[in-house]
Amino acid sequence: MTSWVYLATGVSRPMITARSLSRNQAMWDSAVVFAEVATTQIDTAITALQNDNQGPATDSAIAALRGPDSARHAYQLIASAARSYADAHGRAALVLTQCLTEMDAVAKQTVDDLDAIAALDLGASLLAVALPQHRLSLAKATLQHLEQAAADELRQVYDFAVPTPPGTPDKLPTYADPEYGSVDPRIAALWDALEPAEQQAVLRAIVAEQLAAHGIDPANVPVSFPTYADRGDLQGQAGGDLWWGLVPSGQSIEFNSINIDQPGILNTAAHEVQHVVQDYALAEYNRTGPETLRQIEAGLIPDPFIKYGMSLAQVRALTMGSYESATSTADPNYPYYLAQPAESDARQAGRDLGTGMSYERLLDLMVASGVPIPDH
Amino acid sequence: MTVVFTPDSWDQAATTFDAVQTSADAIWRILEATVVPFVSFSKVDIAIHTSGIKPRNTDIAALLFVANSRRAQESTKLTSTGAAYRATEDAATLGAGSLEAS
Repeated sequence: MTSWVYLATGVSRPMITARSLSRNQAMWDSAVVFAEVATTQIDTAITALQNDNQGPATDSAIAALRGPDSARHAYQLIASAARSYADAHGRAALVLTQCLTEMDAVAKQTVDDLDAIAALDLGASLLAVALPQHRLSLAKATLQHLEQAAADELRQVYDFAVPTPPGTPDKLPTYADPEYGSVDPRIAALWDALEPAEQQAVLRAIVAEQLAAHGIDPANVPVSFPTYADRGDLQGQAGGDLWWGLVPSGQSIEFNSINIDQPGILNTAAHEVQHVVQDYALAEYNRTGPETLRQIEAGLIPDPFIKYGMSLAQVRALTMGSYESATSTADPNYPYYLAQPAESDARQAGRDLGTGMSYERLLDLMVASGVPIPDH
Repeated sequence: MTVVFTPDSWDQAATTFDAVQTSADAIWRILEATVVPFVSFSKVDIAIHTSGIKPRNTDIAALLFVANSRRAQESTKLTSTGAAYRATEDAATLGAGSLEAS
């Protein structure tokens, strides 16, 4: 047991989001494939043109379609850039794994050394206090050095430039806070056409569906739509009127009725459900005895947390961090708030649903909720 | 100089160019679903998620924006080229370079 070394030294064990890194790597690998498919499609079209046409006009057109200012070239650049990202994520995962291994080794050596010091039977001498303190100080310095080195290395891993052609805009228009992901513009248009009561019905349907998918009875998780005025405890806080969803007790979900007309609220629905799922998983984790946890870890018994869509290790990660709150992006705590496993996990769930939702899926949800599909 | 033209082939090429949008859309969805890897080290030292990784996603977004815009322009050119050929029905009357796609 070495986790107390981290506590005693005040150094956090890096929370490696192996799933996040692997997922990113896999997604960028997919992006490479799609960009290459795009290039191949264009090549196919050009080849067909060449086969069926001859002459200077044709030659000129084909040269342009293959030139540096062509879409084909831009897709090639995308493939190259996506490959760079995939590689970077892969290398980052290695750096993090290595860092974690080394830090855990330091923690274990510290425990061993402290055991050895305890075995010296120094009684009530000054050394009995000073030696362990010195050893912990040494451990702290080493751990901090390791994490700093890893952080520096990670910066280098991601320190590469993606070539962009002339005319590339500096900033692209987005229709949602990227932290929340975004939704299909058609979904945004459809959402805009719904009445508030209809939006509420769809949100309830999403919550019920997502809860049920994780083995949680929706009847046990009330959903409500308070107004800003209803949440007096948030008034006066920076960004107090900007909140979209809350899980105040871990057993209910509240949507800010002011913001349910925003299509990003679809992400929020999955986000808040994930916090409820986390609470259920943590409650079961806390009920589970250490021997059972050990057996799960050793693979001797099936991991019961799978039903929550998490592994034991991921549930354990949720226990790390104090779930600091931040009420606005300007809050100095905001980066740490986002970085907490519980928050990051929930945001990922929101992005998975919101960004991954198809227009047809929303139509299905509307039908299931008894919401008529408007003409537009 | 031999000049051969097949008007329909330009329309077909435009159709293939339009189909590219499916792949581009897939990249766009990946782009939006990809998150910044977070690594929470000790607060006193560093939080890598503040180190500027995230904006890099916009590099590819910008590239995609350019690629898609060009693809749409090229598709339109291909269609109009086919239409122009079809209108003249005589390749010999078309001046070299008059139907360049860019």
